[in-house]
Amino acid sequence: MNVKQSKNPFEVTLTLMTWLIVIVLWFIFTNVGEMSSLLLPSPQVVWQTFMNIVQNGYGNVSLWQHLSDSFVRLFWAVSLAFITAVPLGLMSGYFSKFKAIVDSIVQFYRPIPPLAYYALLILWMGIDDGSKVTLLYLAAFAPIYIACVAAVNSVSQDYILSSKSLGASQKDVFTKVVLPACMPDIFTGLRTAMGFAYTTLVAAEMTAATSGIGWMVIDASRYLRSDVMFVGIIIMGITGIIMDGGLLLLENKLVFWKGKD
Amino acid sequence: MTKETPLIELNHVSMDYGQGAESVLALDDIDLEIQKNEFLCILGPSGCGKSTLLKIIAGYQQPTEGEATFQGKVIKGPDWHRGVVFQSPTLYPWLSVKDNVGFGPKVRGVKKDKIDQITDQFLDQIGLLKDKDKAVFDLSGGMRQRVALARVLANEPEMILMDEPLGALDALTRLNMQKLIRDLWHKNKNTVMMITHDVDEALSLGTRVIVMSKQPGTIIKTYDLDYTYQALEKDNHRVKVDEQYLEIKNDILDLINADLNEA
Ligand SMILES: Nc1ncnc2c1ncn2[C@@H]1O[C@H](COP(=O)(O)OP(=O)(O)OP(=O)(O)O)[C@@H](O)[C@H]1O
Ligand SMILES: [Mg+2]
Repeated sequence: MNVKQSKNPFEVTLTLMTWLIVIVLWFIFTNVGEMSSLLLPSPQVVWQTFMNIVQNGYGNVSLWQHLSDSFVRLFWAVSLAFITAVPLGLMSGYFSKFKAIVDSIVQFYRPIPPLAYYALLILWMGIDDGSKVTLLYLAAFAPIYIACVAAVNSVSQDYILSSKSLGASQKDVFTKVVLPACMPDIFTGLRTAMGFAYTTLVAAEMTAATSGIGWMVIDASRYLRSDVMFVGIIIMGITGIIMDGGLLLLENKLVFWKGKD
Repeated sequence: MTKETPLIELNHVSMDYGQGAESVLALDDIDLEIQKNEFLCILGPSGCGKSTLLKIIAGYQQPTEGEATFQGKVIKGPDWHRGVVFQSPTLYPWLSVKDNVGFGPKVRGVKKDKIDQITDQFLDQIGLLKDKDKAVFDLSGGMRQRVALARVLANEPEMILMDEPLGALDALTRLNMQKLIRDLWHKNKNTVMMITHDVDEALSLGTRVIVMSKQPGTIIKTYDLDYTYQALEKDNHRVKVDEQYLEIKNDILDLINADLNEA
C-alpha cells in the first residue's frame, strides 16, 4: 500500500543475508577460536538455554510470566500516557493559554533521564509495579504530548476554513477535521513513546524488580550466566521489533492516508 | 437582471494588513454589489487584493474599514451559505470521495438517506459517481478539483466563491472544467464569484468581469458580458470569438499592463 513500507525482494534478501552472516560469524568465532564461553556463549548454547528457559523458566518464574510482567507494566504505562497526553497535547496546541500552563512542566522534566527520578519514585511508591508504571508513564507521556501539540499547530488552515464554510461548528471543526488531521502525528508520537518506554522498562527492571525480562538479564549477570543474558537480550530485541511492527500495521490501517495529502 | 436587494454588498471596504510602517493597504475603498444568479469574474495583477476581497466575502477576514453584507446582514464569519473552492482542493484525505461531498450536509444535520441522495446527485453532475468510494488521494488533480466543487454544491449555498480554482490544471482539463462550471452554474441557478488570472476564462464564463488595479486594489473597470450565455447555447460549448471579444480582451490586457507600468 505504502511505497515506503513495501520493500523489494532484493532488499529483503540483503537484510536476511546480513543476519545470516552475523550468526555464521558468531558460530565460527565461538566454535573455532579460544573464546571463553563465559564471555561469549556459542549460538548452540544460547539456543539450548533458550529452550531450557522456555520449559523451566528462570528463577522459579516461567518465561511467559517474565514477559507478561514486563508487558503488563508497559501496557498500563503507555495506555495511561496515551489517554492523558493526547487531550492535554491537543488542548495545548489549541489554546495558547493552556499551553502556557502545561508546556513548561513537560519541557522541564522531558530531558531528564528517567532513571534520575526513579530513585525518588521508589522512595515514594516502593519497588512494586506502582513506581515502575509511573516511571514508564512519565517516559511515554512527553513524546505523545509533544507530537500532539505539533500536530495541532501543523493542521492546514485551509482545512479549517473550508470546513467552516461547509457549515462546521467549532465542535465539528475539532472532532471532524483537527482530530483526524492530527492522527498521523499522534501515531508517530505513540510509536516513539512505546520505544522510549520500552528502553526505560528494561532499565527499571534492572534496577529494582523480582521479575520481568530486564530483571532476568541483570540477575543472570550476577551469576555470570552470559548465555541467559544473551537469551534475554535477543528476546528484548525481537519483542521490540514485533511491538513496533504491530503498531506500524495498526497505523497503516487506521491512518491509511498518512503522507498522501 | 432584476434589481432586488443584492446578495452581496460591499460599502467602502478597505483592508489594511499589519500596522504602522509595516502596514500593507490591500484594498482601498471598494464598492461592489453582487446580484443573485450573477457569474462575477475578477481579474487583476498579482498581489492586487483579489484573494483578500474573496476572504472578506467568505468571512475569513474582517475589513478594516467599511462593511460587507450578505443578504443585508453584516458578514461576521464563514458560514455554509457562501461555499468556497480553493486553488488547491482542500479535500479531507481521511474521507472517501462520497464522504467528502457529504461533509457539509452531514455537519448541518441532514438525514443520512437524504445525504446519500444529495451526494449521488452532485457526484453524477461532475461525472464521478462511479468513483464515489475511492480515496481522494487516488484521484487526479482535475478530479479532485471537481470533487471540491461538488462538495460545495452539495450544500446548495446561496453563493459560491472560487479563488483561481483552475490555476493548477493543464489547459485541456481547464477547458473541460470551465464548461462544467458554466453548466453547473446554469443548471443549479447559483451565484458565483470567481478569481482568475486568465482573461479568456473570465470572458467566457462571466456575466460580469471586473478588473482591479495593482495594490492597493481598487476596481478600475467593469464589463457586462453575455458570452457565457452564447456558449451555453452552442453545441461545442465554446465561446465564439468575435471582433468585439478580441477588443475587450485587448482592452483588459492594456488596462492591466498600463496599470503595472505606471509608477
Ligand atoms: N495575511 C496577510 N498579512 C499581510 N499581508 C497580506 C496578507 N494577505 C495578503 N497580504 C498582502 O495583501 C496584498 C494582496 O494580497 P492578495 O493575496 O489579496 O492578492 P491577490 O490579488 O490574490 O494575488 P495573487 O493573484 O497573487 O493571488 C499583497 O500585497 C499581500 O502581500
Ligand atoms: Mg490570490
